[in-house]
Amino acid sequence: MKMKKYFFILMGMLLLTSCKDDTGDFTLNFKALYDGEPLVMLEALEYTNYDINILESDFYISDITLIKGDERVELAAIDFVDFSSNNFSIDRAEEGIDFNYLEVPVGTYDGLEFSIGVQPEENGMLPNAFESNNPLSNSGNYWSAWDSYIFAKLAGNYRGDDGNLSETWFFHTGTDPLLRTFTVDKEIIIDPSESSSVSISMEHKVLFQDGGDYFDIETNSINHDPTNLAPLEMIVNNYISSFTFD
Amino acid sequence: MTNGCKEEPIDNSISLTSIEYNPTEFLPDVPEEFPLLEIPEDNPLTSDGIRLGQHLFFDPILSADSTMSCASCHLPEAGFTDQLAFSTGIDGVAGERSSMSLVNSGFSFNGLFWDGRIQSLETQALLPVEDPIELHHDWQEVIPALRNLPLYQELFRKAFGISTTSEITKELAAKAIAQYERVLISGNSNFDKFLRFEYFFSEEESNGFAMFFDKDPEIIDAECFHCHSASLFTDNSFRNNGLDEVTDLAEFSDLGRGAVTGNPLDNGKFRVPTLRNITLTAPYMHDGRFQTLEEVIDHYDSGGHFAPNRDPLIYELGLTDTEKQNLLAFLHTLVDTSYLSKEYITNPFK
Ligand code: HEC
Ligand code: HEC
Repeated sequence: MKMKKYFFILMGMLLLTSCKDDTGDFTLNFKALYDGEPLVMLEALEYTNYDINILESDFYISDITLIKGDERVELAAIDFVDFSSNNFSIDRAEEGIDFNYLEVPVGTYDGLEFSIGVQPEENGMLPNAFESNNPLSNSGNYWSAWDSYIFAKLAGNYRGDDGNLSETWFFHTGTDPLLRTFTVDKEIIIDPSESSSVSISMEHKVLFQDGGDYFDIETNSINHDPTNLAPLEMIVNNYISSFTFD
Repeated sequence: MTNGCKEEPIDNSISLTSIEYNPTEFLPDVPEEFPLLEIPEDNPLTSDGIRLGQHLFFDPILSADSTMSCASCHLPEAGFTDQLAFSTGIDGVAGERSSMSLVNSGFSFNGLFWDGRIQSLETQALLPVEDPIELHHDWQEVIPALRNLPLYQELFRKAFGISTTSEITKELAAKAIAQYERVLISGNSNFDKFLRFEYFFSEEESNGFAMFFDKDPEIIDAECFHCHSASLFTDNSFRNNGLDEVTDLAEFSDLGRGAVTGNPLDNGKFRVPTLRNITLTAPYMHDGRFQTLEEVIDHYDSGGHFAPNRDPLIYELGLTDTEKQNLLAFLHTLVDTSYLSKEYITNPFK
């Protein structure tokens, strides 16, 4: 009896240590900026010739994967970057949002890839297919007119006639054709002895770029028409250009 | 003896082992479109557990003067609300928030109450008994009363397999109430029947449906579905839907979610309530400020009052009278009282 017990403990220790030796931890951090400064929700921001603020900025990231040649190591199938609830103070904005991925196989990777939005397979499913701890269970992020998840929400106010930041604007993106993939082209070393990280900054002003100019939020404050994807296509492409990493 | 400090002298307890304990798992009827009903591992649903919960829910024994039960503020015929702006407890003292519908509350995953301050139905069920503005009693007195009653001796034994009355505790009572609440599932309204092709919307209802869900570019968007999302007609999030005008986030008279999280952006936000059975649950909002659904629709149509964190989806809609009628007609399709005729739902003492 006793022998058997020790045997299992020994085996367990072996397993644990071997497991520790060939895996390490990795953190993906997201920060929101506006005009180079940490983005704090509800602060007045200089836009074009008028001010705006941002109250909501959140989006799904999917297929978060480390890449080494042809090899792909998936860190997570889906996560939700929620600046809306995180960035309520300058401190929180500076810290950003961490996603910690544990027990990642050690190695030197060429980079990291993730999509902004939901992969077509999951996007063909409904929120009720997921358990409540999965961000895809959020029924408020599903738009049945699109048969799609809302990939990203971006919303706030602009200065109205009353001089207050009181007029609403919002953009919701979604549908399979608007899924975009971002690549972090940077060597990432996963090492058992220290955890590594990549930090991604998202410049929100870039999201509204329209050619050399900025999109007029005042006159196009809301995207109502589920069939008119053109303005959204511009925004989802801008998501890619809004990201910088170190 | 070393256990002289034990609360209950052993000799007071009655053996219950002669009562049959034969638990059968209860599989509630969850409509296909609904999310998964997540049941805690340590409190599986059994027919006897639900039956005990049903008795406790309707039994005024839980209140200090035996006048009120949970059902006094959560009336089955009123969508499990009390149809008052502010609920009043046994001492006639009113609280500051309106009673909430308990229908489909087993699917809430983001905290209970208007501000989400409590995580589970099991934890919640312990509170009303001792709340001074609710049942204003004391579990220390309720439990001995329950232990003494043959009805509860049998119900607790059958539900949890306890072997003596001394094992009847408030925790078990709360578990049973939570089981009962998990089977209060309403999903057979005309809206649900429409999804199953068993009901056809009138033109008004159909237009209101398109408005509610932003379905059709030809029909004006009312944006409701973003927060009151199907199938529960809530996404369980916390939002400011423009009820109070403030210029500073600290000015809200009821901080709502903000008092729980400490995040100033959450001030004045409340949990999105379900709209199922909404015609039965007036008055509306956390403080019952609107008497009718017409008033509610006028509120949304106006874009509500300015607050820095008013949700961007709340803006002046510019609805015509016909459009308001259509939206109202759609809200009426969310009524379902058929679940009340299922087993274990209504007052067992009647
Ligand atoms: C005096 C009236 C009153 C009594 C009695 C009462 N409640 Fe309530 N109940 C309320 C009010 C008011 C709220 C909302 C409180 C808040 O948000 O702060 C509520 C909220 C709830 C909720 C949260 C629902 C949700 O979706 O978040 C549950 C569950 C609940 N009550 C169950 C019970 C149970 C079980 C009992 C009996 C043990 C009971 N209540 C007794 C008035 C009452
Ligand atoms: C931005 C999210 C949001 C949108 C959009 C929204 N609501 Fe609400 N709704 C809420 C919240 C939050 C509450 C509770 C607010 C409170 O009591 O403080 C609520 C409350 C209600 C209530 C009262 C429910 C009760 O039990 O008291 C009704 C009815 C209602 N909404 C209908 C609608 C309709 C119809 C629409 C579309 C015109 C709509 N809502 C749009 C968030 C929203």
